[in-house]
Amino acid sequence: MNIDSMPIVSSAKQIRLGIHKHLRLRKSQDIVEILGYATILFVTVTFLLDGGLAGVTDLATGLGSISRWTALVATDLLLIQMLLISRVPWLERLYGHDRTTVAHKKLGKPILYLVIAHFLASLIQYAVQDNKNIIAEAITLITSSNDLLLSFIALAAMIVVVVTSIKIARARISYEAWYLVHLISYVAVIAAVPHEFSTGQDIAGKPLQSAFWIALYVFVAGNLLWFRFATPIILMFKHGFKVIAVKRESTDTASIYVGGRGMSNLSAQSGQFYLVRVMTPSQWWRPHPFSLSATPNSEYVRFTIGDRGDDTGAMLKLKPGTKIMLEGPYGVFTEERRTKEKVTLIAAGIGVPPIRALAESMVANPGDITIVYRTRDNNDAALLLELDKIAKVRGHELKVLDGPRATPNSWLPAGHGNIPDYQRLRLIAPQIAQSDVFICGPTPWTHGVVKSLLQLGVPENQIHAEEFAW
Amino acid sequence: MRTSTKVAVSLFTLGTLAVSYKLGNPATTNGLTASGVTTTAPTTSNTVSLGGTPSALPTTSPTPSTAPKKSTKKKTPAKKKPTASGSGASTGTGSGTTGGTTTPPVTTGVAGTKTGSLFHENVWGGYVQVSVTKDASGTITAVNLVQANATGGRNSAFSILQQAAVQAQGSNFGNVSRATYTTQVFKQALDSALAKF
Repeated sequence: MNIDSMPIVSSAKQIRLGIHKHLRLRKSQDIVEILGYATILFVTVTFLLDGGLAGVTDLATGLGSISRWTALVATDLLLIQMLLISRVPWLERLYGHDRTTVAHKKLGKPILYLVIAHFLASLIQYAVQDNKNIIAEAITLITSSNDLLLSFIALAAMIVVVVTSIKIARARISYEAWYLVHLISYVAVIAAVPHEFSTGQDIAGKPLQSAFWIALYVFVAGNLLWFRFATPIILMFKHGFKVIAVKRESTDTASIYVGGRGMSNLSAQSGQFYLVRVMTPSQWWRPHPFSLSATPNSEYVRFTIGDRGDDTGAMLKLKPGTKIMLEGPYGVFTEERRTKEKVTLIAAGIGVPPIRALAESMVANPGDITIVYRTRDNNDAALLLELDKIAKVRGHELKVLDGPRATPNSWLPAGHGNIPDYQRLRLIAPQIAQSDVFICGPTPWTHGVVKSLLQLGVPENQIHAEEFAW
Repeated sequence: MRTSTKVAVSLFTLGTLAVSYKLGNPATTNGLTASGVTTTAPTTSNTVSLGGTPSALPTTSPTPSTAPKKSTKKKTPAKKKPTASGSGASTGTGSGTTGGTTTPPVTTGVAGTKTGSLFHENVWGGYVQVSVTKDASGTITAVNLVQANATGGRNSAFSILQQAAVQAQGSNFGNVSRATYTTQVFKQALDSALAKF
């Protein structure tokens, strides 16, 4: 296919609209959250039924109870945390990749605190019982059993992983170093397993609890291995993805066209993204999240990326034929989330690719869709010509706003008069309160837009934003 | 979660936790001090053949004060005494094994003292070897420690376990909580001794 003849793949299918769709989503999310929560409740209840609290009579038994419960909850949360990054489709569809990743990140510290509490409580407990000092007791424990030695290693690994993942530390080390260190988390999870099943008072020798934990481990490991590792590899071999062309879009952006066998079988939708790996010796292990910048067709998927001074710079110079691995598609920044007939698409800078793809494919009558594109300079804005063409062909409103921002806190360019952003937004897109709003741009800018929307009284369930900085 | 779901879940949680805390009271804990170790009514073994065999009671030294015919259903506190001192008297069981030498011709005989193998508990590093004494009716009258050690202050579990074994007439009794591994390895040691009868 000649990439210069831009096809417009507007979907002819119907789309279900209305608030019920949103409610159904919330219901499904509640069910998933309750299930996750129920596992914590289950381990706590079995702990209590085993006399977890009733057996507390002195310091040692009290510490024993703390040690048991923190261990149970920490392990449960750890497995949930692993599931969150396993890219299991039902979680991705319900929450989107960004929210599962944020939840994964948020769980890191609490889990570490629980594990440390478990470690200290059990160590002090045994030290009290054996009348030893803590160091001597620790040495006894380590030397008495391989399982416990492994658990000490797991703890150390976990501390390293969490510490290197904290924002400040991440800023100091390179992504590569962080990534390699993060792989240790698998060591931490696996090394902790033996002592749970051999010495765990709430597991060892208890069939119901053993079954529960084995099932949980198998479930999480299965999802992780299948969806995170096997699926992308199978997809790569099945389709044999390759770069077929790279096209400059502006001074610092370019589109990468990726082709392969049976491209029409890919399930990607406009607004979604893939984790893209360039399969060269130096790059293959580093995935980059790139949004589709055109509705997928039978010949290629297209990503438009900006040069952010890292690997992306090198990607702009990719040679046709370079092998590519695609993981995904991920993301819920799609028409699936649409509840209204009217739609406002708002993009800034390199946030434009998914907006461009949505503008191409969303079901609409002329006038239903308004596109707001915030650029630094109209003469050097990626995909602006394409958006213009789509808007003309499909009857969308296209409003391009360029220039430096009005005030340091404004997400809009300087304009006439000194009126707040939200009032200007109403002038730019009059039907905004009755529409679904899809926003894509840098995080602070996105927050500015969302604030204006809330000021305009747009209900939260009509606001769709996916944040790329995770 | 939606607010309504949150409220429902919170209420359910509070209820469940309260109920399980209540149920979790001593009823199910057979802690080191709890006495409720009678999990199953001991089956008085009626398979024992008593046919006037020369009751091979070799050197039943470690089964002193307990009456040989004991209604096995009762937990008589008297039992605790000999077993508690069992580890001290364990030297007597050495002859228990050799006592077997008198029995070979009469294989139907069940009375006597047998010593099982030594079992190690690999998690914490404890170990147990026990000898079991039965009277002519096949009733376990004493379980003594030949050698035993448990870490982490769990040595006190042994007397409870010995008592439990006599009451249950075998290894079918509940865990001594906080001494799960001690219990497990004790049961193995007990079974290995019983297997020699």
